[in-house]
Amino acid sequence: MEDRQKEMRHMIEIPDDLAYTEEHEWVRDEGEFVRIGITDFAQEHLGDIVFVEMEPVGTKVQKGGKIGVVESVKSASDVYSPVTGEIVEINEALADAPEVVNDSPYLDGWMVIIKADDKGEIDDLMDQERYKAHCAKGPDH
Amino acid sequence: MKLTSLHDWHAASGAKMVEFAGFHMPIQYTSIIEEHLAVRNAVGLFDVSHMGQVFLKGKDVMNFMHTMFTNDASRAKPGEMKYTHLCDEKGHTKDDMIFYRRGEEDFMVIPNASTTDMAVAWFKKHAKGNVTIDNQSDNYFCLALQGPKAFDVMAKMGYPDLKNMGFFTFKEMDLGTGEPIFVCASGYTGEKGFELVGPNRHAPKLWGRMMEAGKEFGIKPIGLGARDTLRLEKGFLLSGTDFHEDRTPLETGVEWAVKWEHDFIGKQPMLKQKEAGNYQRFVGMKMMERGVPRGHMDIEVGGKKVGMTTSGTMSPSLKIGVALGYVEKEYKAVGTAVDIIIRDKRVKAEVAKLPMV
Repeated sequence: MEDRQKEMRHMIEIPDDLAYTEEHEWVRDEGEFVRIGITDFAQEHLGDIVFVEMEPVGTKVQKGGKIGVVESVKSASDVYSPVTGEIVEINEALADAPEVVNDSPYLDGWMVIIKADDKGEIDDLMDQERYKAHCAKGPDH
Repeated sequence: MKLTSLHDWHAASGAKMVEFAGFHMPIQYTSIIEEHLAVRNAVGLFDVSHMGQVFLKGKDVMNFMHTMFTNDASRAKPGEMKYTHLCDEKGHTKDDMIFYRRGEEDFMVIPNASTTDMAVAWFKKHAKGNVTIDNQSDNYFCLALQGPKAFDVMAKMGYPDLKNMGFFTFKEMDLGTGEPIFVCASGYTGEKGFELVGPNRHAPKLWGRMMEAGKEFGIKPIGLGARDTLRLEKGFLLSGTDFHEDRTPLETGVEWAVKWEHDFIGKQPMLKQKEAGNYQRFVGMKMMERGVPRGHMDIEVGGKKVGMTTSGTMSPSLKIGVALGYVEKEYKAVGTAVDIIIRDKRVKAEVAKLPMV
């Protein structure tokens, strides 16, 4: 029993091609736009995700401003924008299947696509190594 | 921080641990939703050893029980247990608990973990004559086996007759423990099952035997996260969350646990409130739109505040948001349309029949 459960707690995945915020969002540079979600560490810490709601398409967002909320059974957490710009697409599929964020935080569980005013802002974020060290400090950092 | 006698097992299992009422407790082992559904559909095992165990006995214990509790201890026969509230002089509930009648002048009570010290101090303050108060909370475990397959697990362990126990009765029997422990037909999930209570040294072995016997029935260890969602769907009160020395048993909807024939602390203000009748009512609510209600959210009707939530979550059984809280009595009827204000947003909900599942 103990062994089976240990195996079920998976290792936290941190891809090397993404940028990360201190609040545990990830950012993927996709050329004209940037795609944003929450990290494997964040979904693991939140537990079963039951509700995701993002600001609507067309919303102008500031770097560090609130762009939505993700809720687990136990608690609600705000999602912050890593860049200044405009929301051009939100992941509508998460309205009916928020658990996809648990299953696939970096792919199917993406949350918004933003047209960034200045993609240089991504350079201020953490890379894989720095984010790994950030996670090692624990979920409250 | 206090540890239960199963702490090593929880830690080795990879459970997420949190501090709760001064104890390091498992909040979830794998997933709150999985654990919740295991209890509704099969069977789950909880370590709730943080709960208190206080023994009350003596020649004057019945008078003492009457003074302390809204429910009437003289109505419990030996082997029966009753849910009760412990109120202050204003009639506000200090804690809800269960008392167990072991003999003519011999009771055990199980208060909540975070209120045990308060309850013991209150008992000592009010004990008169020949009453002994023996707080064994740190020396006793409490395990809860809950779910439709709970009887099968006990049968597999060699105790098939336990399925015949009446709800809210208990036995003190040797479960291979070498001495009697409490076997109670009760729980906090709304499912069939048992709560086992006894000296700490027996907990690890009993836990292991139940997990082993439960394998073929799909048993899972269940953390405090699912314990909360399970009780919330059923509308069971959570001490310190749904009331906090601010509500009477009338407001919390448990007048059935108040017996008016005996005198108890808080009775007079409660009688006055009952007569006036204009107090807020405890209700369940189901969301009619997407959204997850939590505690401390305003409840409105037509833009006017009519109450406040105390608990809320996404119901794993119903897959919609559900809440508990208080509304003005005009809005208590099942089916009443209300709005719950979730982060500045008005979200439609409806007063629901309890239990909601």
